[in-house]
Amino acid sequence: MTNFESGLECTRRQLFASAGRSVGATLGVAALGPLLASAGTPSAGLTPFRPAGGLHFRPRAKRVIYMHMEGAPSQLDLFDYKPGLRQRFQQELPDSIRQGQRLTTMTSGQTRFPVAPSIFRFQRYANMQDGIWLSELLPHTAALAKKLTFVHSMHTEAINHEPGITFFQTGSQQPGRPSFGAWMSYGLGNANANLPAFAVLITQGIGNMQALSARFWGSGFLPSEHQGCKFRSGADTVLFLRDPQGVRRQDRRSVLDLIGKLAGEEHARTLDPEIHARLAQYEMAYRMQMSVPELTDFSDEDARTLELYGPEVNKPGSFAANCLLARRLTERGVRFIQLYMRGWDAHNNLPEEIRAQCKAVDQPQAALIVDLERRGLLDDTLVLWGSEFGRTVYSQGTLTQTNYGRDHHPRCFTIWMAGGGIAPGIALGKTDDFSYNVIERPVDVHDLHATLLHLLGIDHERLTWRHQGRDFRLTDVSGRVVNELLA
Amino acid sequence: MLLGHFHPLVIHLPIGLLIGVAWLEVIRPRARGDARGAHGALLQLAAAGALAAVATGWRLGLEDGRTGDTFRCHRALGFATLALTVLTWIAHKQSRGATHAGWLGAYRWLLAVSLACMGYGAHLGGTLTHGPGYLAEALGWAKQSSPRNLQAPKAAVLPDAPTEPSTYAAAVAPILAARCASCHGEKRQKGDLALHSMEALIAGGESGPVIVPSDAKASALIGRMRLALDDDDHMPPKDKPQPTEQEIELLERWIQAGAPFTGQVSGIEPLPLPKESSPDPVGAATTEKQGPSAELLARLARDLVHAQAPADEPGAWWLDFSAVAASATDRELGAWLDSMRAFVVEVNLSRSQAGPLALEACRQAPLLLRLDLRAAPSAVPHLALLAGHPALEELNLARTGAGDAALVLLLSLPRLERAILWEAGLTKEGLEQLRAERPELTIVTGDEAPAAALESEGEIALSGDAPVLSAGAAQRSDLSPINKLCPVSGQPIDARYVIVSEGRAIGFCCEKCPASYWADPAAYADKLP
Repeated sequence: MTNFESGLECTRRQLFASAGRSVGATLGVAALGPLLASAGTPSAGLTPFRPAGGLHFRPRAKRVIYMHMEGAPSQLDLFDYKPGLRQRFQQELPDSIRQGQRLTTMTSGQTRFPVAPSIFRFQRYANMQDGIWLSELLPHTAALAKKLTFVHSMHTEAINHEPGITFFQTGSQQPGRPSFGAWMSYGLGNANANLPAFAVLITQGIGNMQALSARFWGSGFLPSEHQGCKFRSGADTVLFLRDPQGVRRQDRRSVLDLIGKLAGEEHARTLDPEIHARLAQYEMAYRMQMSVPELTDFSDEDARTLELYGPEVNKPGSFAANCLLARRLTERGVRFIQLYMRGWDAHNNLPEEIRAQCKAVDQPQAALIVDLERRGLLDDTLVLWGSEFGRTVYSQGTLTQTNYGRDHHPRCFTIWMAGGGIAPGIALGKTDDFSYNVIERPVDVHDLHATLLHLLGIDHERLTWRHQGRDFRLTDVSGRVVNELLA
Repeated sequence: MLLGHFHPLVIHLPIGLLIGVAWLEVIRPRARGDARGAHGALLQLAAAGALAAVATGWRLGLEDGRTGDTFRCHRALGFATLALTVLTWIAHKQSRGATHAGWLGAYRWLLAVSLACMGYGAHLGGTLTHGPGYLAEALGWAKQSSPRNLQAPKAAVLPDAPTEPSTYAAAVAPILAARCASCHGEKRQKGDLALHSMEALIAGGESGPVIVPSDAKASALIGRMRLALDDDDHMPPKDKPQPTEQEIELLERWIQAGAPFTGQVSGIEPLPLPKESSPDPVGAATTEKQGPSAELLARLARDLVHAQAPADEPGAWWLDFSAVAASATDRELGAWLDSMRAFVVEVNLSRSQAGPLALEACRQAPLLLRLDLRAAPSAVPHLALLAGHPALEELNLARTGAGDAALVLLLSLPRLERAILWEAGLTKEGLEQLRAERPELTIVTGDEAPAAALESEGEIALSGDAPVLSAGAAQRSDLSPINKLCPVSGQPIDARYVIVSEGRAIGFCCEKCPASYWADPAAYADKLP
């Protein structure tokens, strides 16, 4: 699955670069280009969208719903049950645990690192092993423990939000690589040509929020038609989709046909691959003018389903509304649905913030799982709930019996998954008694990516794009499929 | 390529003109001087027309790969007519200028010969187009027949009047008609070979007989089909629809049995064949082994139908109609499915208007494992079409309101493993019956009650009572290696070369050893503690 065909096209920069090496080769390419372009180009000058070449093996999942909790919720207060810490309140974090590892600038100046046990009660729920202890903050989610798979041993390299999310989304802390959804769009193509393959839904948080850059759903060096499409709350769900008043649909069609013809000529002349990307987006937008209003209109949902998602479901942009929208996108075959819930960055005042955040996500996310399952969609939809890192066991700022804050903690945190080929009802990996280091089965971000791609029918080592002289992968030079997670 | 196709049109120009000139000679034999001027102009045009006819005919002959006596004769007469027409024109010119009466005689004689030559040539052209004896049979002239027919041995031509169709007619002829006759049939006989009739089969082609009764191996008919697809002599040519393995085997068995044209050969049953016997213009016809053709897939992509298959299983296609679900009619869905029915393992018809045609196509998909009819109530009245489907493992009837009528279908599917029946309208009794009769079936009804907690923590009291951990009592970090000696070399490990495998940190002596380990971790299992 490589970009051989696009490799025959070239950008201006590539053309100059190759001219420097060999004039003959460049002329060859330049002469060959128009022939190739005209061979596969219909009269309107449009090349139909073509995915990279399909699957490497039979997939277990066809779609991904990735709920990213931006800001990083505390694993200690939600999933990683450490009852022993309750007797270590205010004790200093032992050096043998911290081992001199780097801290963020937010707490590196602190003179003490007092242990802050979770003040939230945990309950044991039945799963496919001997049960799992989960926090009282997520009762609806915990009730589905039999279907959920927890990974307690996630770890990452980044200690700040931007590089952390960038790493989770693109496999690299530095910006510029394509995000997971863009790789999926490129590798698997679009199952519903009337909607973008990669949709992004954002919910504003209640707690402390961090910036959310549009490049988290960018396509990097992949053709730009693979970038995520942001769905907004409010009247214009997708910006600039509506025709101006007085423009009829057939006017739009004839405009697009003419632009397509002109662009086809331009492409034959310059071979710029972005021309195809742009045309593909025009056509997509044209079809979305019909498909999006139908998608975002919840009036065909019955009352019981709306009730399932909780009281906020009719509030556009709420996590409940976005979960329902995610289900509707899933039903329509969208490949990668990215939900962002902002506001988990509780450096201070964590108990109050996490309570409110959990209240906003718990019922909707559980409803999404239930709703997918009863429609027979959970089987081939991979649901992933995670964040860019975890939070520290020691308190940032003042620690009292009822209040504390936690700093960023990349060395261990918990994510959960459900559906699409994931072994249900298990917990993988262990952390030490302070939830500070992984002591069993560490899973890094590349391993997670490799596993997700595997479930989608893609060998992560063979999904590549040639750029700047080498083949890039989502997992770069790393990543191993975590076989224990596969059903 | 186009040029050759003008032959039938252009050919009529010299025919009409020559006849016209002859007619002028007949009605005004005594005309002299300027009264004869028009003859020359017409002959000139006739000669030009004959040249055009010969040129286009030459192209057409090459293009169709024409050979054989009739064709060669037709071609020769064409050239002769051209030459004679030119000579006639020259003679006419001379006859006008010369006083010698001989030129006039020569001109008239040449005109007559030209007409005769052209007439017979045109008749042979008709024979090529419409088949041997097209005229003779219409006129009832029994003895007029093509050389091909004369070669057929009489004994084999006279079958008994069979009460039921012979094996040849029922099983063999349809294969030859479907796979061969477009080039070797009634209309075209490439390589002078036709396979559409008993006589033609016996006669063989340019290079002799194609069937050796009772010896399939020696029969060119089989030999050419058995050549590698890339071989230049392989038949049918590789860009044409290919016979299946079963079809070739059937032909072999028939030849082995003596290639009888009458009576039955035991053990040969007619095979199902593609509906159209003519070559598919877009190449959509494909075989199971090859998977769907690129053209077919391009057509589906153009119609916004999603089709995908894993690279290692080219016969395992997933068809998804999400994009067209709201707008496509049952007929369209049925047509798309029908074109892919040999390859699909999974079909998503959810939220569509699937009806009898779509379900009929699903019924005819032998590999179909998963069918999604979620929220497609239009399919409900036709569910019986799927009854007894031999492969179906998963059926999604969520939100169809199918009711207990779906029970009959569900119970009739021998391989069914999973049924999604949320809001499928089944009654409690119906579901109970299904569970009782098919206990192994996974049934999703969506009415699962949320699980309660097994146990809960009591009141939470925070204290600092636990003994403080000293530095010495450190818990082992995840990355401290479990071994002291390198499992690959046996040398002491170096802290810089530590990897994590199956949840354990393993140390190595140098940067090269981990690669050896990763190549086969199991081989080093006993070298590790």
